[in-house]
Amino acid sequence: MDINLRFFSRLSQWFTDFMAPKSALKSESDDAQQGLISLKTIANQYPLNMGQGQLQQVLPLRPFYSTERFINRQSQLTQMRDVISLWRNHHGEVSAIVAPAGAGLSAFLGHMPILLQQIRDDSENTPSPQAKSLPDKWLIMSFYQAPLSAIEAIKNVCHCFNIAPPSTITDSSITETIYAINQQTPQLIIIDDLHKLMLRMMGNNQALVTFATIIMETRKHHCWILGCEKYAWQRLSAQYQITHFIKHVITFDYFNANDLAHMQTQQLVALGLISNDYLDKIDDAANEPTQKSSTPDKEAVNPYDDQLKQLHTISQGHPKLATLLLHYSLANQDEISSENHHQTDICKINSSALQLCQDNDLFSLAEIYVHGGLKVEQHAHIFAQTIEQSSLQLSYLARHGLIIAQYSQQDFAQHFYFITPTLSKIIASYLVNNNKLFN
Amino acid sequence: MDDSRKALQAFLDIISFDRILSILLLCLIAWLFLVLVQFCLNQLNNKLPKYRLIWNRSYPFVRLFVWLCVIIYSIVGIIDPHENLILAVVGSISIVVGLATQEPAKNMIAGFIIMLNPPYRVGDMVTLAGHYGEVIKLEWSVTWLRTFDDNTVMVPNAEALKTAVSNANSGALDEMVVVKFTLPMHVDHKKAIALAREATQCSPYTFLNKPIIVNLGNEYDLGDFLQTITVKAYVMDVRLEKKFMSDINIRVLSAFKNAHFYDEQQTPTP
Repeated sequence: MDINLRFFSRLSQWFTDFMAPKSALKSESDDAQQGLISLKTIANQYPLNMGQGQLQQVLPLRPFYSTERFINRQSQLTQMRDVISLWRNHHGEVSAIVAPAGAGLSAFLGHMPILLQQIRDDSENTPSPQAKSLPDKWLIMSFYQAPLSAIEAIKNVCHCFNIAPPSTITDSSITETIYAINQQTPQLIIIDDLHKLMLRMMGNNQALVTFATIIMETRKHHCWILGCEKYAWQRLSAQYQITHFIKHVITFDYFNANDLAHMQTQQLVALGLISNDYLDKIDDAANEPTQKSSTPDKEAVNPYDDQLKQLHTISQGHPKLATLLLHYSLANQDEISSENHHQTDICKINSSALQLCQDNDLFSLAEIYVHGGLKVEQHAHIFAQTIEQSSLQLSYLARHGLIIAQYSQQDFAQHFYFITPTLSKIIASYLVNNNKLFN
Repeated sequence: MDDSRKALQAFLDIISFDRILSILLLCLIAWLFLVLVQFCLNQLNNKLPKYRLIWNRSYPFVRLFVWLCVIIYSIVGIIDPHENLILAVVGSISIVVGLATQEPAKNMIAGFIIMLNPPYRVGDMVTLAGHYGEVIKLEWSVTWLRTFDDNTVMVPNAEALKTAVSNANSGALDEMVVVKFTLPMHVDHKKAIALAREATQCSPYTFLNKPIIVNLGNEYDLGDFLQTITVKAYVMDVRLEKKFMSDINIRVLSAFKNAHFYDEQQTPTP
């Protein structure tokens, strides 16, 4: 029976090879003609790749924590209001917002100052004498490097408050730091990418414990909000029981079809392909979901309705991927299909590069995903291999577009690799199915 | 004499070319169907390796069901013999086959019992008849194991019911791995436990959804009092068991060496 199975396997392989596009020989345009877009092509659209991978050449044109693309998330905003209200009423607890990579967590956190201002306006109208005043200062930050000792953790926290950190750690260092932090004026402190504080290296355990202790001991005085990626949160929960210390956990997922359609309609309007009226209609529908519009104009169907549905199906609600697919499909419309823009099919994703990955590649991808990126030397340490081996392995993954390199000019061991942001959902699903990431 | 002749004649009457051809055709279809099922299951394994134990477990049942259907349909639907003939033939064949194939019959019955009340399933890591490995195939009469030396071992099913079976993962993909370290008695045991735990956490193969347990013990060996650190942790996939053990050894020993736990041992005593 095994012999026959081998025959069938070979037959299947032959059939797949016969039917699949010869990626090595074909260009992006050929792929587009077949309505496909490869992972490599998707990765190539990323600004860092377009700018030769040098960080200084591709500094963002707009603020990192911008609210210009913030959309919906009303129930989560209400929960955040409640959290801040509880803090003001002397029930200060640490809160966390958990969302999968690329679902708009940073945009949500970037919206917090606006929310704070709204709460301030509301409280001026209806003052509550017993409640604490809202924090005057707010701070959003993301750590670039995980601490690997208690002193590093203390230094990181001290930087948040502009306090001089102790030069050496003693038994009283943490107590002194906590005291100094509690002397500061109350602040709203938002830590984005909490997972970047977690690193699978010796010493990180103690650093996280110190960090958590400081946060817990200052939570009544300062309002701490932590943002974390979904799978990293799961790992933090399993490894450090973080859920025992966090009182409020607010979660959200990728966008549903309506929200994504709204977002992409904005793109279409910006491209000048449809008028602003369609955007207004979506807003009206969102504001008055129960009332059906009666005017014939409002009943007009968006000519890109089919494409928007396709976008949601293909991108699974990932906003950046959807935007990229829309732009790419429109740009390659001549190759893809039709005479009119609105008859263009959205490119489907050819994820065959993921299937080429061996087990050790998938383990690497999982660690890079959960850590929010790894340097070559960190990867080498985690996988107990040489820096050269890690460098080669990561280069291989980057060549396939699964990760993006941020090169250091001084030392190749300092090259930083992270999951292609637009592919985060696809890669995470593949890793979960392959038993490398856990829910 | 006449009765025997009649019985023989009746038996010969039911053996016709078209009936034999029909049965062979039915067997061929069943066999092709099973090949197709296994092919599909292999494809599913490749696409969704996380659920490979579920797919693999279903195959022995499908095969049992298909062949039972083939046998029943061949007898009832194709041969359609007289009741007396069935009884006579079954009785005679049973005695002959039973005497001639005691061991295989025992194994087949054991295989049937294993399928109904399984001490292990396809994908489990078991110790069976002194062999430790992954169950790769569960047949009516034998169980196939693949050991970590990449040997394929065939164990008769009767053996599984006769002796104790040790199952390391019992149907789950993760599995507990135990690694023991020995340290000199003077070493700070609290630090050693903390280092062993953290080093195990750092392994990329550790299944973090389950706890890491570190136990301290002591022993007297070759005139020295020693303390033992036993690390019990779960590996993400049973197939990575040995790799995981090696990885824990590398990490924990490195941590112990960096903490200078073995320094005094390396210094020759005057």
